[in-house]
Amino acid sequence: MIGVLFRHHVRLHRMPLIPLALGLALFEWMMTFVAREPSVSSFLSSALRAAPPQFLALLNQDLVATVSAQGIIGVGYTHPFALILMAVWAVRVPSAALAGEIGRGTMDLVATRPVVRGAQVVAAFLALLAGLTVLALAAWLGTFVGLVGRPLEGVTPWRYFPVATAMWLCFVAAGTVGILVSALAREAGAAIAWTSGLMAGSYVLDYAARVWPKIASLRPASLFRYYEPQQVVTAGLGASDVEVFGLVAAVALLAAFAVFSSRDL
Amino acid sequence: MLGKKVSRSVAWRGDVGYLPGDMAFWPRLSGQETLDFLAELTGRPATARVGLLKRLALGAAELSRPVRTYSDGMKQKLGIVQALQCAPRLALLDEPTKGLDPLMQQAFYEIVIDMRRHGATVFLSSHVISEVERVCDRVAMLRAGRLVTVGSVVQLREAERRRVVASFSADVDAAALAHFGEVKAAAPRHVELLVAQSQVAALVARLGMLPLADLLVEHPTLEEAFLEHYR
Repeated sequence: MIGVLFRHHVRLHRMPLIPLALGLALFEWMMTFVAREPSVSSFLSSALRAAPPQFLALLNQDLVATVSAQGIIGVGYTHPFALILMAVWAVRVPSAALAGEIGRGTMDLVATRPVVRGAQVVAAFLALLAGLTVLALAAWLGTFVGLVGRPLEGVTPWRYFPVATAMWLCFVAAGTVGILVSALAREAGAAIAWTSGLMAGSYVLDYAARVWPKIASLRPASLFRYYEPQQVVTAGLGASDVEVFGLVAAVALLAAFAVFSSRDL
Repeated sequence: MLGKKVSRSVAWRGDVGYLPGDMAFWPRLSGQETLDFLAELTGRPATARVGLLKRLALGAAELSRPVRTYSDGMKQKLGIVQALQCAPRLALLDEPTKGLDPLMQQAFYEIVIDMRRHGATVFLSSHVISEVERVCDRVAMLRAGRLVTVGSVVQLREAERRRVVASFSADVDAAALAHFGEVKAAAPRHVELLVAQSQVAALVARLGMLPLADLLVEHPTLEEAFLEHYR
């Protein structure tokens, strides 16, 4: 039954996945061009040197790393455009899968079939994973094609595979929180609002904690604290960051399972 | 349910077909995709689908269209097919003829009668008493969420007061008959009463003493029985 429900989610959401994946691939491909143009790099370098630290904090970069070609490609993985495209899937699929079915009235058709409630949660999670995998791979393929087509000295596309993996993990964790929200809600609209709000809140908290020392201690409470592409490019994927994303996803998934199994539909 | 425990297992639901009162589908899916998905979820082959589609006049062209383009009547037909396509042993149908034209209503009644003939149980909720009387063996009446009465259609009708209509060749005093039952209509040469079954023989004997021209004694319709319970 999980397979049937998974295919159902894919059927419902496959059309938006195509433009999202193309958008990410194109964006990351363009970043490899921006990085190799000396005029653009030097312009960015000057601009960033003149920019206030709050702006660099928004990019989640340190200056030295950013002004290198390698760093500019890394910016493509923290840029709000790329994050928003990933977030669209991480909000859309969980919200539509549980709360959306209840709100639309189609849960009546699913819940009266021989389907255990847990299977619905697992199928939503698998659809989330599948879509995010496609998107993260598309982003990395954009970088790969850009760098293989016109190589950049000292920069290999394989360095960005762990970065795309970190982005995937970050949104798997955020999307699984979205599944928990969806398991609690009665309408897709409410689930979308809460999940988007939590993601945006987490992003803003990370940014605010970096530029405002008074709340720096709150930064670990944000998921985006554990997503640092420049560090991943230079040092690889940090085990502790992976653990945090994995833990958040596991706890949210178990909570969603418990809530949805016992709630009134 | 159907000899299976319902507390933990969900396997028994494969034997049940359900048509919700407020039918909702996935608007972007076609009718065909909807039926395929729901049959897969049921876990049984959709052996009755072709026959149902034919009887309800849902063709391949309609099924290939997205459900969002369907009229209310087409959605209702799709709802009936999804509920019954896997030949369930028990069907729960909430207001099944809502939105169907008279021809399709007739086709639906024939489907229910066929299912009954093949040993399936159909639970049908309806506000249309005539259709209940037409296709149901047993009827339960609910009022404010509580069971008022349950029994076969014949039992329910027989349990209610008979309607007695008498015509006379000369003027009579209808008030003289009032102690047999409730006088519903009275004219000098015509009287209509509702009379308990036990009083019918005595009333007929009394009417025989009057200048009786015509007499009709009939069971109430299910609708009248229904109204009796709701008054």
